[in-house]
Amino acid sequence: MEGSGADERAWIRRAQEGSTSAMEALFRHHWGRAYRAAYLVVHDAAAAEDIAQEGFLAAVRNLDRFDRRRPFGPWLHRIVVNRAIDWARARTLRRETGGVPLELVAGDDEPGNPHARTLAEGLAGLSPEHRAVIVLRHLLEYTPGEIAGLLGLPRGTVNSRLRRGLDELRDRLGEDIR
Amino acid sequence: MTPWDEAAPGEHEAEDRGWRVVRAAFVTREPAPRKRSRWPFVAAAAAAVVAAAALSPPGHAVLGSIRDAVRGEATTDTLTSLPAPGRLLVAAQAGTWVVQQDGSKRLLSGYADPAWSPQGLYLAAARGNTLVAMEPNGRVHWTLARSGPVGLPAWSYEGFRIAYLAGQALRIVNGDGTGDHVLAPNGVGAGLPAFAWRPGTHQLAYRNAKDELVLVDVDRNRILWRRPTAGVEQLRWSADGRRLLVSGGRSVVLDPAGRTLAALPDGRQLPAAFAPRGHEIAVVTSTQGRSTVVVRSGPGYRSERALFSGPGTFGGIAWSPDGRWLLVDWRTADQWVFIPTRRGRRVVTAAHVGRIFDSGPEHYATLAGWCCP
Repeated sequence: MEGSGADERAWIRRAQEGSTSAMEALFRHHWGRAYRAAYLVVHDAAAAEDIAQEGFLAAVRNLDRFDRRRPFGPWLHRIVVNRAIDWARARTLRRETGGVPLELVAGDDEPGNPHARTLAEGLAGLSPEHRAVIVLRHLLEYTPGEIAGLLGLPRGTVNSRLRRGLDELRDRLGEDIR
Repeated sequence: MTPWDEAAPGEHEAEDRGWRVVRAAFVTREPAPRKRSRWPFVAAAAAAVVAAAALSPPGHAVLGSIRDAVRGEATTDTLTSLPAPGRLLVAAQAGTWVVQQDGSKRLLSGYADPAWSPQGLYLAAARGNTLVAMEPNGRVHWTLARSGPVGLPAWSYEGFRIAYLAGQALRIVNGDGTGDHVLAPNGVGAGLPAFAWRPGTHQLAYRNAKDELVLVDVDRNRILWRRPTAGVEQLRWSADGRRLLVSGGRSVVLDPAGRTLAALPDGRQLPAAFAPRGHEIAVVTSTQGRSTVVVRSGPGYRSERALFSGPGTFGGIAWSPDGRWLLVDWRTADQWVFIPTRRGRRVVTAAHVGRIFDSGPEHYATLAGWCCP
């Protein structure tokens, strides 16, 4: 996802010069997908908020070093998705819900959101690594080659994770989610 | 519209909260290439943080510490030294960092989940499916390969035993790398791999696969007691081994027989740590996007002292070995905050923690222990 091209480059330039309104435009433009990507990997609203927020804070800290000729989205998404994978791996080890199935936790937040719940429940059964490549491919619309670059993986690994993850997701949801 | 276009739970509500935090960071940032006076930024930081503190509990008690934290003269760009004797262990993307009191750092590349031995002469760490015991200078003493990924090593009080996870199993190995055996085949189960050695003994408290808290005599392979529990995320013994803090769910303090001595207030009380001496507990409480460091003490732990508060997440907490400082990993601000536990000293901060430990923006640098002058 490349944001809005010229607008985005202008926001970054003005944000680098200190414009709060430009920073807000950049934040508002990217918040939804960053949050959603984190949520679909970690399945925890509070954690997704922290991760997305910290992604933007990392962006603020590194704003002056950012090459504004390049799109902002991939850079932000690399941060958010890698942190989400870290968080989900740690949680897999810790299983902090004390025996409550993960899908029930995911569903606690907003009962009136059936699509997202279903998707979240389906994704909850996959490993964090499989969730991440599916989210990058289908939510954020990166190509497998771009995903390989974002996650530092061989392209073949991305392809196999996508294939296996989607097969499993299809089995769980009984439909093709693409 | 596809399922991918649907907002995630909490997405919209979190947006404005997120913008407030990001905006505060943005207006107080220090642009790298331009030479400007620090004072406008410091003043803006003070205004933003103090205003935030004033608007929310714990309010005035915390304001003094926060004012200290954002004063220019107490703020450092890098971790130049530790305010108290001892050494830190930090887990980062590249491996484990050992930080000396003078601020010098050594990277032990590729090692994860580090833990100090009791006197800080050695550390145990994980490398894939291998448990490693080494000196802080990187000299490896022994390695132990298991079939699954290993992690979370913890030394007994005198260093004769190490408990660790290998896959789902909770295992014990002697401090010299011999005698490795399974303590619990499923030490993770449906819950936490929370475990902690009782000081002065070879008794290990852990949460088993049946959601029970168990105290086991490791050498005799005998269960001393067990009690039902739920939602445990962390176990910590006091230094004298007479109290066990069970955090997560409803946090409680137990005696060595597993009886409840005190229940901490409702709400998340994590991370938490006993003081190096005595029975005071430092905990992080979180509410409405703010985190606060509180020291609880006295009968029933009803006395509480708020030391520091800030927006976002505090990822870790550690007492200095002399008990005079608390180190808080203020993850949201990418800062470490050294908080004096007694009056008369200022809060000291170290900024850009991710940069210091070369974690990059994509991963966290995690505080893994402050040990041993």
